[in-house]
Amino acid sequence: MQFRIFTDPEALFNLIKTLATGIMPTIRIFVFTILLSIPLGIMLAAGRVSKYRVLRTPISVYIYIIRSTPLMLQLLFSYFLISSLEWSPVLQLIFGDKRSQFPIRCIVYMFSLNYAAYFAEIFRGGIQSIHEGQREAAKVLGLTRVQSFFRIQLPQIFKTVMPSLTNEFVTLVKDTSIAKVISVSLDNRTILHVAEKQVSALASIEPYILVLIFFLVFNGVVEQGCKLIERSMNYYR
Amino acid sequence: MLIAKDVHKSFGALTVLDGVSLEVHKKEVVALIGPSGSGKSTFLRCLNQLEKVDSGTIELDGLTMCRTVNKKAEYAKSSELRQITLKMGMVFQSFNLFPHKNVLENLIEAPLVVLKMPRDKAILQARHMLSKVGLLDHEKHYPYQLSGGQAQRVAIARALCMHPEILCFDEPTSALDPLLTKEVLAVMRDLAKEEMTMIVVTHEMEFAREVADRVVFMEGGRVIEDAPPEELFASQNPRTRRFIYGETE
Ligand SMILES: Nc1ncnc2c1ncn2[C@@H]1O[C@H](COP(=O)(O)OP(=O)(O)OP(=O)(O)O)[C@@H](O)[C@H]1O
Ligand SMILES: [Mg+2]
Repeated sequence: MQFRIFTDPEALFNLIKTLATGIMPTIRIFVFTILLSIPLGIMLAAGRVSKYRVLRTPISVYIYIIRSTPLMLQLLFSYFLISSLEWSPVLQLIFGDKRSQFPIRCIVYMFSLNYAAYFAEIFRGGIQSIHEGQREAAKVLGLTRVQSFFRIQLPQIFKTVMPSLTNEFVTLVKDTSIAKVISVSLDNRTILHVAEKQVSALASIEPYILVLIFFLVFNGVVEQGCKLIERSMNYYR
Repeated sequence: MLIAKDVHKSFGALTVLDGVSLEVHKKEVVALIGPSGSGKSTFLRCLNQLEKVDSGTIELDGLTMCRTVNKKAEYAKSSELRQITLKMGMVFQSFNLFPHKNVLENLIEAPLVVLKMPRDKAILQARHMLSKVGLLDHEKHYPYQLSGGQAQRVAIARALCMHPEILCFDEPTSALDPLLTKEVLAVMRDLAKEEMTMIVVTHEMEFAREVADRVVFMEGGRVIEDAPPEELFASQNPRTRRFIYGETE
């Protein structure tokens, strides 16, 4: 294998500059997916352990469907299903403009819906790991259920689930590559969208090598960040 | 001040409280004794709204928590229940301190969040309560750094920070060895001297005899005897004697 580009500084610089345009969109998908899927996952988990069957059953079914089918298929399916619809004001409100905003929003929403199912199972375990006595102590002190959940239970839940969350974050970084199956507007192209174009334009796989390095660095940062968060919760047992 | 009348409670087919009635007056210390499974914890938990009664009346300070309507308990509206919650304190056998908060944070949590007390005032009061239970130098400790006796004293201080009218204890020393038991009982003795109204479920007969104004003996979900300690410990009731002195007929 020849490294035509890696041995030509100017070509390499141009390639890196081009690929770099895909970095922020990739990170954006990661960040927005986490921001949406964690709260959604917590809500699903709360519903999953609630005493009301009307909440529990549909949530279980939802989690089963999401976890049993491939994310890529879910993404393609939702994308083509929604794009076949008449663009109503409601769709406009949720997905924005059909051509410029819809593809990337569809990706972020579907990623979030997918990851929320995994997070829900993780948080369910976390909720169940909290001793009943914590809830009872909060209750007799007069805290409302909401105060008790957010101030007493959730911090402890995060501590127990953080190692599992780290795993999911690392997987999500890699799963951003799945976004490539959807064509998005120019300024939303992920690093893999960009790399693929370059691979065919330059007739070389060197762009892919750079993408590999990008993912190594991205996940290195994510893992270190998670370690820091875990350590910050180590002050108690 | 506290009136419980004919309280019934079942878990499925198992009847745990079979018509329990109890009155507790201001400044009284009532010890609740009885064999395992007699429903002592369940009764305390009903008073603290951790369990719902099936039927019966519970009143505190003229506020009604629940009363019997058509043989079923009808609970008051939530604002009233909340008022009652704030008048009741509870100390658990397993302490139930918040592990992610240090001692001081455990003590100021409810005053800040529930009573909306200013922070400096909450801290001042927390330190006052800590000095009462002899742990002023432990305010920065986390629960895992405390011995069982210390943890239970913190739990008592935490309950006191809400200024309850009645403080309930469910076997507060059962998880502790004799030495640690002593330090917790000492704190409870002090509270009794300060005329705190208390209901104490306990197996510490010594404590019941010395500190309680009344001792209530429960068995099979019923109150068998309710009398001042000297009277109850000299009871002629064979069931009471069997429990206290292990006598067999
Ligand atoms: N949530 C529950 N569900 C089902 N049964 C319960 C529940 N809580 C208590 N019980 C049962 O109710 C009965 C009375 O329990 P309770 O804890 O009130 O007794 P106790 O007098 O406090 O006993 P101990 O001295 O062992 O603490 C027991 O048989 C117990 O198994
Ligand atoms: Mg008990």
